[in-house]
Amino acid sequence: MTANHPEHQGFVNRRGFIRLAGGTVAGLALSSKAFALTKIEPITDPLKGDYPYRGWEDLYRKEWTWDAVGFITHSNGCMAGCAWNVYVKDGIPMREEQVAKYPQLPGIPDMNPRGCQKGAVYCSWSKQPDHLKWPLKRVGARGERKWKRISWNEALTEIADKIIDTTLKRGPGNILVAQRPFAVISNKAYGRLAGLLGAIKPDVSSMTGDLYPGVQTVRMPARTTSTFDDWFTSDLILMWHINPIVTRIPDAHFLTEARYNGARLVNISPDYNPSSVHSDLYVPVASGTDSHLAAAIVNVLIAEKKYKADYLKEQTDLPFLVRTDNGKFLREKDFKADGSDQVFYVWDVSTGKAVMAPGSMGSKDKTLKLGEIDPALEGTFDANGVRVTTVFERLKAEIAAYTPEATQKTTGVHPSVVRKLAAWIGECKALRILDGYNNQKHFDGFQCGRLKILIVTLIGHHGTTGSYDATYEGWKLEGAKEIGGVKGKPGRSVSMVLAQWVWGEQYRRSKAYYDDKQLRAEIGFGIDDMETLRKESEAKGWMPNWQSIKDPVVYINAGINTFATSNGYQHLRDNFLKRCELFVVADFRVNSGAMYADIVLPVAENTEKLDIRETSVTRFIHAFGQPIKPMYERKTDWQIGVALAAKIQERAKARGISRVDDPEIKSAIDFDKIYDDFTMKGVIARDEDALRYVMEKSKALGPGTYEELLKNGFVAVGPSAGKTAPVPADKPYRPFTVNVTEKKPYGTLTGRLQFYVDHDWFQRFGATVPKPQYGGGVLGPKKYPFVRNTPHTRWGIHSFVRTSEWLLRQQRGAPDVRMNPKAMTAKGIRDGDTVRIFNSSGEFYATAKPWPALPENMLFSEHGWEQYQYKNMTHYNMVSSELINPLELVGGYGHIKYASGGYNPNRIFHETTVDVEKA
Amino acid sequence: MRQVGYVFDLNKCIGCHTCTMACKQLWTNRDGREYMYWNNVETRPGTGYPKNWEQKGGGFDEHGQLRADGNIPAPEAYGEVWNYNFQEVLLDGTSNQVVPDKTPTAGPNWDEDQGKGKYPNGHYFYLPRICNHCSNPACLAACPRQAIYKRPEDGLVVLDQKRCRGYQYCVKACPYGKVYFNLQTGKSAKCIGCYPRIEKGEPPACVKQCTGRVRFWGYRDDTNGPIYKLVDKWKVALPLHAEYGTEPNVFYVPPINTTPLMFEEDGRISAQARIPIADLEALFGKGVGPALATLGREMNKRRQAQPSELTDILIGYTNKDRFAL
Repeated sequence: MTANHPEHQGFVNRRGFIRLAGGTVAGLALSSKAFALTKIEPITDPLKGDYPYRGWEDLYRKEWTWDAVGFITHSNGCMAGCAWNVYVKDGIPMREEQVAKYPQLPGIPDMNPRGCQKGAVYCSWSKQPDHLKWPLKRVGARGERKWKRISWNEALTEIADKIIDTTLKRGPGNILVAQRPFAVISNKAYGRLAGLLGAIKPDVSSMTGDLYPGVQTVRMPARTTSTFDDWFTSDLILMWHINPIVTRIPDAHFLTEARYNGARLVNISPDYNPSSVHSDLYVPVASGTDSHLAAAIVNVLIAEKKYKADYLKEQTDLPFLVRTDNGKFLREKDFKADGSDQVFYVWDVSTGKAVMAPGSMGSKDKTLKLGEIDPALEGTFDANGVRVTTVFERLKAEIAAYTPEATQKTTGVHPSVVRKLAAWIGECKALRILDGYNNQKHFDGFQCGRLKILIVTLIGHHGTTGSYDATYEGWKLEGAKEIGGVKGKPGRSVSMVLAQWVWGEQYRRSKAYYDDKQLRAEIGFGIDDMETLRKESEAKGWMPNWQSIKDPVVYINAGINTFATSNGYQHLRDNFLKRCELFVVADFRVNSGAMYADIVLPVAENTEKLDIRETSVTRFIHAFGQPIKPMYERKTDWQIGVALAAKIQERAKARGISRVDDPEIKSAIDFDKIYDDFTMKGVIARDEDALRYVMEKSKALGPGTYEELLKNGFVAVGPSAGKTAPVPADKPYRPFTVNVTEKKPYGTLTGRLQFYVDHDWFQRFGATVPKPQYGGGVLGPKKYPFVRNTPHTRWGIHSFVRTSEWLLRQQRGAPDVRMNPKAMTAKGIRDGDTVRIFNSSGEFYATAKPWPALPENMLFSEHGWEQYQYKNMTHYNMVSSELINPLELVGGYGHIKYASGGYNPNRIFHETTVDVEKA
Repeated sequence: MRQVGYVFDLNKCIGCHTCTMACKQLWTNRDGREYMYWNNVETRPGTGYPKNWEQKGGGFDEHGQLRADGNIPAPEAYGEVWNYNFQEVLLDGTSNQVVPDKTPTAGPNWDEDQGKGKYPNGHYFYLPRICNHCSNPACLAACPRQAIYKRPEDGLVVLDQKRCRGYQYCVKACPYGKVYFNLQTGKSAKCIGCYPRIEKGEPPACVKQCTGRVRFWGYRDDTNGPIYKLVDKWKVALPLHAEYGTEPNVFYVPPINTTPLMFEEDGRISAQARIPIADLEALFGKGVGPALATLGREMNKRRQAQPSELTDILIGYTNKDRFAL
């Protein structure tokens, strides 16, 4: 027991419990000496409320008191944002309660009260001993967890000198700075610093497997969504690769309420999860075969002509002409030597000719309006001697084989279920597909994403009455972009999957685990091929190559649980850290990664920071209103950035160092001016100034919103916040509506919702149109009979609050793994047994828990557990091995090119196989 | 006497436990109350909290007499408040695994999500529970000290922390397992209906903070309020175990039992109900069938784009619609 833990004070030990709880006898014994009332008034009937002693009621009234109230939101890793009040007593944040004062939109249920159990326990969690108080320096071996307390000055000096030394000795770009996600100025502090240092900036979305590269080929940007109140407007909602009842707790009521409003809910998942419970139809698809199910739905919609031809002709590339000889789009340059390769054609039925389609990247007409043109969706034509057909014809031909009957043996879903679902889709008026992050963690997620958005598009609902929702996006805040970097100092963006593939030697690990021969047979290429293709992509300049020519000599990690969010914990850590000479973790608590740090910096708790959270889940920007100032020696992230910049500048000046040229990125590092640059010469040095700057410089917010935010805990964005459509004042936000109403191009190569990609590699890997990329299902060695599933948990946001004692007491207190009861019996495993989950690449231990909601071949362990919660410091990610889909290495093709948070290899590992045994 | 009532819509409950944590942080994270969950959420079918509380006895017999069979649940039935060794593992480096200080064998949510049935045809749902603030409370009837009373202004059943002598007759008598014994103070304790809040015009914390918007709250006699409409007018909200004879003032909209659709052996859709109606009747009585029929009819009306007062109430667009102060 930890004596310094306020909530443990007064705890009665087990022996005391038994002694006192022994029943009436014990109760009498205890109370007999307390009969000391001198005068007793008669109580006539307590049932009727005749009770003369009500003075005692003040006891509880006094417990509901406080000295001060402030605002807070949480959001480390959560896509939502919720307004909470924090009640402070004697300077200590005691408890939180949702503000619950959001305004209502006409006819739509309001968002009150936003927040979940994780926010509700935050104040208690933040007082636990795993939360940091002052800077620590390692005194033992890495990972030994022997620390000495040091001053900020000592910590910053060591970091500053190491940054300068590394840059001078190894050249610019051997410093890696990972940005704390989500809170705006906290995040920008590290982004700004990284830019000024020419540092490597990893794509955190790629690292966590949260990209939608497949969907990014269809629309720009891929990752966008309606505000979640828009769910209420749907009459058919497909929850696919997402379990929102568990993972989107503040918004889940929009699902249950949409159902009361007449909507049908469908959950598509291998496990009968809590979202399935609330559905009209549950589709028990076999793990990793969703692309086949999606293809079967598309097959039915096309075969039964449930598609909306007019919409497709205008909004998509489905009528675009494709050469039958080489499978390439018909382009202007096919006819003219100096013609554009970004201008395309459709077949105009009224004139019987191939005519240029407006709106593409190379087109002078920046509109989707077809005017007099009536494009053919189907047919084969002769365009000035070139045989051409349409994208739609190609799609039809490729998808023809995927009937509900043919796909049943792959997906395990009976054709009648697919046909029922397709019929619902065909007849609905407002279809919404909620596509979760688990889509792209599957090898076929790339193609599955394209198929899902195709379903919404075929029936004409994309950007009209429905939506394909890819989790969330950030609102457009110009001020945030401005402080996130400095002009001319771009830093070095990388795909974190590729960086870890090289630095963490994931390549070697995946090669050891997968059977290359089996992979070649199933998906057409093996791990060695992936490595060759990665190098080819880097050589072509498609993907950044910093991982191949630099090392993370200094790694400043802010707020990311660095090895937990990946695969192969120890392997990754050891290989990564052997390239790293100084590993700094800035966090408010000791997460698993911090155990291995050389220096740990204590960051302000959520209750101690001044910042905002912005996400398009709601129209509201939420306040971290700093209800209390940082306790102990904690600093806000922004102040850490400021202090580090100041120390670097001070050390550079003292050492006579000024500018270091950085020709690789056509930039320079100005060590002697870095504080001046970071703070705009002091203008944004304080948290309040930085936050004001962000808000006042952003069109969707502007002057006065900072004050409003701190008065209410939240503030609504203006119309310009939407990246793909304006935010209406009286309706939920829905993306891509302007493309339909105003005929605005989609930012793709063809300018339309693009379902055909004629890039060489897409042709090479048989992926020009959306269709399954392989036969589906597991890809790990077949000798391991189980597929692992580590989805998001109800009890944490990744590892955020995963160590909360109050939440652990609502679970089983330690990591568990769930199994189908029949599979448990077959393995001789009983409820509560410790089991070992293993394959050739690793193992972890957990407590077995029966769950009849699972198919027999699945081991299910919700993620976010810390490494130090497992026996032998194992971790659930130690059994997962990753794959690279070469389609995600492609670049140099219009909109299909490297983009941090947009297009690069995603972490793919859900096809790993494992086995389990009683430990 | 006025009486407040609660309706919990099980079709909206997502099992997130925000209610439990709201209550915990406000009332029971200290001073000997740590093990108590005045509000808990349990998975059904399941053993509940305290474990197997439906077998603990208590309540009234058919003649209105207090039953003598009530017992005090064992500590294990509540689950113990285990603690962790963060300091040793993370800051001192003297231990290598953060673990509970005793091996957990039970807890308030031990069989979360388990339910019953065979994949893909299993079922489970959530049952949030608080003190029922009964009109005929067994705890009140059993207290030899007359330290439990109903407040005339709201009918909340409260336990006088000054007069209580810790006999625990109330713990035995409550058939719902919703009265606890505080080992630190030697007195019994229970949900207070957040009377300090409602005196200031705020609904109880578990109600106001329910993010699934499951909970409706107000006075039973307010014919314009949601409680009257759901319980007395539409009759879709039913008491839990009415046969215990305590006349609960918490009512439940039972879970729709026909969806998601079931499957035949070969994967075809089956017409069978997912949750056997008898299982629901065992909890909520014979009113379940008619309540679900009403609900289905009204939801179907909405699907045909016709108006429905009932579904509008259950949607509960704003706080004002769900809480009638």
